[in-house]
Amino acid sequence: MAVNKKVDVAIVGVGWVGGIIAAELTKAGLTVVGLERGHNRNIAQWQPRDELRYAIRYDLFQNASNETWSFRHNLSETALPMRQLGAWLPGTGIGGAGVHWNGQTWRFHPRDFTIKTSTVDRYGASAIPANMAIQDWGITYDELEPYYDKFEYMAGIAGKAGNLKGEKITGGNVFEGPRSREFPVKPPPDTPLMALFRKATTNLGYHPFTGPTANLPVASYKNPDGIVRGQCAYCGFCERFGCEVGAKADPVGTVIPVAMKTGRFKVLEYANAFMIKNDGKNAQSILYFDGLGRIQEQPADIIVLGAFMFNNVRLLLQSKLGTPYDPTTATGVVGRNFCYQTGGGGASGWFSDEEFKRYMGAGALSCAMDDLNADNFDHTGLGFLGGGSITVGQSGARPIQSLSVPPGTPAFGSAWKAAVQKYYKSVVSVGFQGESPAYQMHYCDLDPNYRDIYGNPLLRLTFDWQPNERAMIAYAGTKTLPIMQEMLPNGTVYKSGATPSGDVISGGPGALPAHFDTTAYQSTHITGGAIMGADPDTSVVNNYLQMWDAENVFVVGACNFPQNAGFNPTGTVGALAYRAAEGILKYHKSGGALV
Amino acid sequence: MTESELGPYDGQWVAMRGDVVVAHGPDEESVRGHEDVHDGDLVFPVGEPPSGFYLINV
Amino acid sequence: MTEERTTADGPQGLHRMTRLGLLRRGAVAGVTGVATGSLITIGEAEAAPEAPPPTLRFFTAWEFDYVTAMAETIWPTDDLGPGAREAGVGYYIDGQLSGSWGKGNRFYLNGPFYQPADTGHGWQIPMTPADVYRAFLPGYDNYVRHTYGAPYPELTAAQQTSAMTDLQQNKASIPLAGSTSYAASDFYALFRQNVLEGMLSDPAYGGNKNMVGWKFVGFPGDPLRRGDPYEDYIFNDKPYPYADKPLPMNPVYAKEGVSSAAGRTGSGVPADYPAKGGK
Repeated sequence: MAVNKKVDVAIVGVGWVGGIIAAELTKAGLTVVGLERGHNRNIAQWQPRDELRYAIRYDLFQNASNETWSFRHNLSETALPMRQLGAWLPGTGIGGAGVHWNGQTWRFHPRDFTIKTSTVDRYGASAIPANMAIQDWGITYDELEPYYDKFEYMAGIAGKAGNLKGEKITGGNVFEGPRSREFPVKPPPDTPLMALFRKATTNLGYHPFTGPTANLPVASYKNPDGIVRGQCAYCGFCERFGCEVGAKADPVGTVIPVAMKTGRFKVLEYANAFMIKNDGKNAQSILYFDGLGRIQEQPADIIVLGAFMFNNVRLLLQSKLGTPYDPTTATGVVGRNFCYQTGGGGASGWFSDEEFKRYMGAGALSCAMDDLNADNFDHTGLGFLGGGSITVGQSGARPIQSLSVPPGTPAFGSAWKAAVQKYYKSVVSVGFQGESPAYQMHYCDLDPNYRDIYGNPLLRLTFDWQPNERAMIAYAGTKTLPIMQEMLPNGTVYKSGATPSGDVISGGPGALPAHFDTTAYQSTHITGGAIMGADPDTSVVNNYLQMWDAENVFVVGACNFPQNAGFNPTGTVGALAYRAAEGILKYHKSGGALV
Repeated sequence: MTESELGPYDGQWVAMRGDVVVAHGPDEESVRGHEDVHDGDLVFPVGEPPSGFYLINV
Repeated sequence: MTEERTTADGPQGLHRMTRLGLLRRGAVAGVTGVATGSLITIGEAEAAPEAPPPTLRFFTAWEFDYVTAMAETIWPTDDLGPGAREAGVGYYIDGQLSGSWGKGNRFYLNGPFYQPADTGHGWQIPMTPADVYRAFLPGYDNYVRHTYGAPYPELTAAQQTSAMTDLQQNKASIPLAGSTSYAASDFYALFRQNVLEGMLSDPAYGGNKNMVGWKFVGFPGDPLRRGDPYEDYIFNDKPYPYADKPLPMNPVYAKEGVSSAAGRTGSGVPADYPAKGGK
């Protein structure tokens, strides 16, 4: 085993988190090594706009045959491996999932950070189901605001503020927390589809706004680090693809070059970290498999786990850093509060006489409303907690995956073929993306049966939909249907047994499957397992993302979320990365517990 | 701690109190109107949503 | 006189193509354009002399014939346009099954294997997609001949629809299927997905020949090959003039001087792009 030269900081993962932290630390004079299990990547590799290769054969994603997860719905089941990628698509390689994300960039609401306190205050403690384990983050929105701002200006996020220092502004998201200043870039215009949603939701009394986007809608943008990016071509190959144009903000084009330029950042490719060498209170080095499968060691004064949520949690468990969570007693911390994203309860419309040019789009080009998210509406008497964002997006209708036809249409043959041709250009969905609360029995640990390519145990996930989410999705469907009806007034709402024709709408109370389906893609927003908080008994890290148990270890990412909000996570992940960078610099200077 | 098994109710509506299914039926009205269902019980459908895509690619 | 047959019973009851069948199946042209840097029109490419049909790399002739007939049921030739046969879906699927996906490159195929106790666990068998096709087709053929009296390619269109529906609704009883690990309807879903891919993936993969699939739905292929960004059309109602003139990703079809979208990047981003690994 070779032992590398010791550095100030070693980071596992060179995606958004690793890239941001490397840039901030190297700018401040620290030496940093990033360990990336995948390989170096650059924009030339992302020329082909090839739906089969990237969207369906998963060219940029983790290879399940090397490493996957086992999954069970409850504690009494034997967990089975996810033998193909399905519900989620984690990335690998330099830039990680930051390369192939859509670019939707949100801030969580102030209430999201104090969800437990706020819910009890408003509805009483008995409103929270006995096994629901939501908890406060140990940081407030106001404390995190400067870091959100920093991420948004680095990435050139385009949008319109709905709350500037407490003043609500029509046209922005009037439900968001106060911003200290406007977005760095103005939002894109509406496509005809977005305009239709905006009009319909306004008519119904909601407050729509343009979705905040990392797909640059202006000719160019120069960020505070001096990086210049170019304009989006609306090619419609965003999610699951790398952006050849550089319009979609990604770590490869923004923060990693900044770190590289200092000369103090080194990336080890094909470096698959599997263990943090530690004595329980102090970590000394990262053990990893190199590209030839040999074990190598990277010592550092400070160690940062900046990998995808699954990998951070697995590394902690494998390294016996922090007390593993026991769901039967609800004690311990590593692995607890594993959450996802609750999608469903949307409505679809098939317009018989429209051409929306759906093959044109950008990942975050959308119009959204926040009225039915979080606690933005009164839940009294509804029986469930939480909500979600409601959006019409135009991210690009690549044909293999965009052949939606009205219900009641046969699934194959000439009648189906005719419907495909008729509706490919004009089917629209109003989507609902909901919160995912934490539960006592949802958690991560190491699987007893299945191993990865190196012989190490897979991460085992225990998770299923609970009555709260089912009731939320049922409710969501009763709200998205009227929106679609407003968008398509001549639409007939499909009833089982009918033969659909003309303008057709499908919607109504939403349903989730009897059991969580690991095969259907839903979202790559997986959270928790190394959560932040104010109390070392119920969290892994403090609000500088420093481990309570080992002060020279920082664990950063969506793994820190105690539960997931009704928004995409990257904005918050970016903010936490900047927060962690500040904490690491403080620790590097003065040592000790930061909280 | 295990949730009441919902597999048998695929395609139906159910009412749940805590972790227990207290009623099920072919549609919302029949379940809400069921004699065993009280105020505060959660009522929802189980199964795949009707066809069409609802999720934003994220 | 005996009816002209396109298949015949060979040894072990295996079906083989007669010479007539081979001729009727026809040739599938490959792209024969030479890279000149100018925009080769699709018309020019289609007028080029037809190359011989692709060599099968996985399917036997019998399997190819079967799969093509089944694919035609999913996406038929009709008044609206060409179907799966003409689009080369059989060749597409052959290519996929002979390649890394078909051989389970990205499948976690380590045991132990259990039958799932409930839904939502997906693929739980030690087979690859190539294994599945090879194992299921003879089983399905057995069922079809038993139920409808002839092999699938020889059934009427109505019978074929019925036989496909039996797969879709899990009514076809096929050995190795019928358990919670893998059902006939799972095979149907896999097959149907492959047909869609074969109709609508880039022609480089052997299907969507002459972009018949893209032209059918109105998908223009790779916009940046043409050098016209979509931003002049996406925010208004102007029809896009090239929706029915798709371009594939092969750079041979790119507009002169357009080899990538590099010209669109901001000045701070070099064409040969980061992230150079620190060494």
